[in-house]
Amino acid sequence: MANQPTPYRARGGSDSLGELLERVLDKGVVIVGDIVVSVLDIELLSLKLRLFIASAETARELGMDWWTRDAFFSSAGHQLTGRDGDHSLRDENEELRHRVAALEQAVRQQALDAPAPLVREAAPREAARQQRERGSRE
Amino acid sequence: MQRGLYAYAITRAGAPLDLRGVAGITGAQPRLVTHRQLALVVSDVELAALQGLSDEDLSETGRLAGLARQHDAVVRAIFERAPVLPLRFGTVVTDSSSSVRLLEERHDVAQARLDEFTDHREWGVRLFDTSDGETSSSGTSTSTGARMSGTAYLAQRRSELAAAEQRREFVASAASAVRATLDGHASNCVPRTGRAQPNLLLDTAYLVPVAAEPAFLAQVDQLAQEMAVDRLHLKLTGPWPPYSFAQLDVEEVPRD
Repeated sequence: MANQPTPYRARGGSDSLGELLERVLDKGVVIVGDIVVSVLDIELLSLKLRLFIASAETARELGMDWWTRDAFFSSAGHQLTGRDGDHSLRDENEELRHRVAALEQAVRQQALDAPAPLVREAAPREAARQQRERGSRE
Repeated sequence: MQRGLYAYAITRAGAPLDLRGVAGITGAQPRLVTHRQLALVVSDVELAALQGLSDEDLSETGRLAGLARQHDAVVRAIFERAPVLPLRFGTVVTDSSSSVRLLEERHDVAQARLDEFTDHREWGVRLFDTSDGETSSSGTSTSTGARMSGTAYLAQRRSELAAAEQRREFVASAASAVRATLDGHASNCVPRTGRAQPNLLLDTAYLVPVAAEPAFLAQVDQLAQEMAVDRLHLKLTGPWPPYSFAQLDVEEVPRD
């Protein structure tokens, strides 16, 4: 691999929401008894979190993880590096775009250079087919 | 409107803790309720602000995400200034006198925890297998073109299974190597549970003394580079307040 990624470097507060929720919902001292007011069902929330992470992981495995790289949806988006690296994907996109452009250019060039053979090649075949059809009808 | 005190964390009462400019849950100003050597960091909260959260979805822009970040912001602000013992998100006490009771009932054990956390930070380490089972799929791709005899198929299947087994053994030994190497740099470590991912080999929180951090991080860097060669991804997160170590044995073991 040309650009060896160091994606574990999530230092400096760029940790994802999932990482944070795993800590604040699942960890921390639990106070029980009559001094606390029960306002939310933390058990249910952490269960939902687990399901959410599991489904997000499933989505990632299926390649439906576009939002993790989108700066709008994820504050860590621009820093997140996927399994193969964000750069390789971007490079691949760029390369494909170039190739599409080159192919379009080639097709256009071919159409300009030799419009006649394309037509000429099609014309006799079409004429022959029409003749055959006429022949069979008669 | 029903009100209460949202409690973020326990810290020491001794050193003056300036939390001006720190916004808490729903933007409220956090303050300290002190008792003997401890302080509980609280802010006023309308209970309605926390109610009905269970029905929320866990999106980046959801209500829960906002509140969790506000909770974390206060815990981190304390963490930057003093040892901190974080409480579970959503802890609300009725008033100042119940705050005092909370501190009184847990005084000694909370003190001991704060001693452990002094000059320590939490780091998360995860190890993933990123090979995607390629050891077993490489065999099939070469021979899908031609029709295979039964014997050839079985031979191929056997070698695939052997390769997968070899990979399993290899990643298990890599995981224990990571554990053995990093454990020495930390004061404490806990395996983290909750994520069940097939490619997750190791998920550990380390409580590292600040003085030992450069050595710990250098070791993580080195391990990550070594592991990457074998398609293992070592992921580091942090530094965190000691969330994963915040437990009081008072609650863990019911007293009789």
